[in-house]
Amino acid sequence: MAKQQEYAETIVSSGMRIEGELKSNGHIKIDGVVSGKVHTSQDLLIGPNAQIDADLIAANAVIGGTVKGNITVKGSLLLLETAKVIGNISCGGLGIREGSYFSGACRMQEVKSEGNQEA
Amino acid sequence: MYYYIVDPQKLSQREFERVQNHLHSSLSEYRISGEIVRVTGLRTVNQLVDNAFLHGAKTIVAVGSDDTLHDVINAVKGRETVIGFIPIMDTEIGEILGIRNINHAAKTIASRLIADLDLGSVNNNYFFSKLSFGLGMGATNSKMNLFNFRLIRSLFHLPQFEVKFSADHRYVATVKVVGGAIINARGNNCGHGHISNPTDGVADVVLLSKLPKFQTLKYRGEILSGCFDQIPQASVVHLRKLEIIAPQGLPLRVGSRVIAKTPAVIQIIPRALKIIVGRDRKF
Repeated sequence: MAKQQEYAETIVSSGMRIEGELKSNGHIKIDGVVSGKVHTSQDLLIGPNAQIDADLIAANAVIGGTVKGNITVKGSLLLLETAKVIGNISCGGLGIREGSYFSGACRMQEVKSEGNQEA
Repeated sequence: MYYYIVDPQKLSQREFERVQNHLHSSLSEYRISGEIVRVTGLRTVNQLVDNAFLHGAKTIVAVGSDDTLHDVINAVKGRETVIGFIPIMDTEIGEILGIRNINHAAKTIASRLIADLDLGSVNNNYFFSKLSFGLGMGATNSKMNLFNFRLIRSLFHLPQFEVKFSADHRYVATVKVVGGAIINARGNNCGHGHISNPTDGVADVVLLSKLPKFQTLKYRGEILSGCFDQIPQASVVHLRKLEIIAPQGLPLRVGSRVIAKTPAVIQIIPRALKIIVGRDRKF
């Protein structure tokens, strides 16, 4: 039997517009327009045609569209060629493809070196 | 005590007699005999369910189609009882609950494996499976001939309308669609394990926007069977409660029956249905 709260992927298609807080315990894929806040404990995928005017919180994220807002990602964040991000980024790992646009501050979690771990 | 509410629906008298004989022999075989009553024009499911409570029935069994089960669930209206289901034809809910036919259903009822399942409610009407809207005015059906030219042409010209709904009091969504479904539980024909679990406490809302002609042709099977989530351009969200604000007067169907019109408040009531399920259930 499936466990409670084991939700499927949330998909916001290109024709959909959301105003408010989109929160999910599963993966989220956005191709539409969202303003407000997006929060998931799993992965977030923003498609190339998406327009986001919201703060984003996710475990990992791949951004291909336009985001105006702060992005907080525990794990890795990847900005694709089509991405346009205006806002601050906080993440564990960051990848930026050539052609993407990013304007804001970036703060990454410090990677502990082996020497530090031994100490 | 078992109380069987038999709804012959569109069966001919001859077919119904055959079903009745089969039912009697199966109930005797598994020692679950009880009072058997038949729905007629003068004795509605509501009246029969009230009678069942007056007679002190502990288990009320709907014998008929998915509509019969929905009628019984609505007539019970949250009162304490266990519900059973004996499908007399191929039904989606029978498949969800793991009940195949009369004999198998009798065996399932005798084994009394009771599950607490979620129920959907729309403007105080309950539904167990899914609520659908749009796609012209007709109900979708996967058994239609997919190569029928008229059918394909009608899919190309499906009317589009804008749906606006508030979701869990968190956000408001607007999307132009040709159809959609609010799913609590569904059969296996769509083959997606995560959607449609009637124990997860949420409704899966699937909305289909108008597709280009080639995509419509490619996904006509999914469109007609209501498996919108299998189409890449569909939106899928998971909610406990939603209110469809616009358009006004949009018919909301369970199967082919219209049970409400928008504006409508739709919510999932967790574990509100005590029902006997089979070992082959789909959740």
